[in-house]
Amino acid sequence: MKENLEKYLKKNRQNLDVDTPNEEMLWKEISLGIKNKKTGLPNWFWKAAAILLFVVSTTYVFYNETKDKKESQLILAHVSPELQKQEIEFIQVANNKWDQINASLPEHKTQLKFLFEELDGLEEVYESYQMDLNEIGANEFIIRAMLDYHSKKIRILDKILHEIEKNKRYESNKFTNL
Amino acid sequence: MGKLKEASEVLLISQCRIGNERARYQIYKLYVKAMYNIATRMSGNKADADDIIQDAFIKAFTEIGKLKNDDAFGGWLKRIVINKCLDLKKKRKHLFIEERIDKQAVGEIPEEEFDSTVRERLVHKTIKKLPDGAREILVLRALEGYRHAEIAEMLGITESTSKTQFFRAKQLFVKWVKKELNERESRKIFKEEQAKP
Repeated sequence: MKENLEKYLKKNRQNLDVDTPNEEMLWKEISLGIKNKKTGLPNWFWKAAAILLFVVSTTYVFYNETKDKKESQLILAHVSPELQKQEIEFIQVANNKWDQINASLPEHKTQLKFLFEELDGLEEVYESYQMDLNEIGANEFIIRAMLDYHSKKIRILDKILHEIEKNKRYESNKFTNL
Repeated sequence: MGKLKEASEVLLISQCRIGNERARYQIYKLYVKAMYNIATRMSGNKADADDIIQDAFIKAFTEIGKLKNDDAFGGWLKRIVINKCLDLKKKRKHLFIEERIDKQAVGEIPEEEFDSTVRERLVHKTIKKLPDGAREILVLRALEGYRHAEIAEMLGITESTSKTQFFRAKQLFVKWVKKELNERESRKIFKEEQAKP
C-alpha cells in the first residue's frame, strides 16, 4: 500500500522505537553522574569540607562524652551562609536552655523521662537527615526538616524547663504548707 | 496517557525534586526507551546515543528545579535529549550541507510515495543511515513535530534550508527503502533458485 511518508511516520511514531537500551548499565552511570554533579563545586571544596566535618564531628563527640549536655553541630552551615546564621541562632538558644536545665536539673529525673526520650528520638531523626544530606546532598525538603528539628528541640527544652519550674513551685509550696 | 498514570508521574516528579533516588529510577524507566530511540535516530548510532542519554538524564535530574510544570516533564526531557544530540554534533563540527547544494539534490530525485507495508525496524534503520543534517531535520519535523522555524533556530540554519533538507531527507529515505526492498527480493529469489533441485 502506497502512503505519504510524513503521514506514515506520524501514524507509526510509537512503533518506531525499536532500539533497546542497556537500561541497567546506563542507570549506573547516570546515578553516579548525579552524585558527582550534585553541587557542581570543585573537588578541593569537598575534601576541605570532609576534613572540616571530621574535625567538627570529633570535637562534638569528645565534648558530648565529657559533658552531660546535648549540643548540635553546624551542619547546614555547609549549605549556605543564610542557613549558617539560622543554625547558629538555633544552637545558641538551645545551648542557653541546656545551661538552665543543667543548673536546675533535679536529682530524680523520672518525671522528665518522657521528655528526654522525646529528645533522644528527635536526635535519631536528625542523624538520619544528616546521613541523607551526606548521601544525596542538600535539597529543600532536607533543609526544612533539619530546621524543623532545631525548633522542635527548643520546644522540648522549653517543656523540660517548664516541668522543672513546676516541680520547684510544687516543692516550695509543700515546704510552706508544712 | 491515563489520568491515573499522569497523577502518579507528577507525584514521582515531585519526589525527584527532593532527591528521591527511587522516584528518579522509576521516571528513568518510564522514559529511557523513548529517549534512547530519539537519540539513536538523531545521532545515527548507539554509542553516541548512550552518552547522550546519560548526559540528558543527569542534567534533567540535577536541574529539575528549573522545570516549571511537573506535567511537562516528558517534553522538557525530550528537549534536553535533542539539545544534547545537537551539542555533540557541534562538538564534532559536522556542518550542514549548503542550501545551494541541497536544491540541486532536490531536483535530481522526484518525490515518491512510500510503501507503508515496510516493517518498523527497516524504517528506523534507514533513518539512522541518512546523512547528517537531513537526518536530524527528518526526525525533528516528521517524528518530533517541530516546526521548520523552530528547527532552523535550533540548528542555526535558515527556515528555507530546513525545508529543503527535509524534502531531500524524504526523497533519500524512500529511495533507500526501495533499494533495500529490491535487494531483499533479489536475495529471496536467489535463495529460491538455489533451493530448486
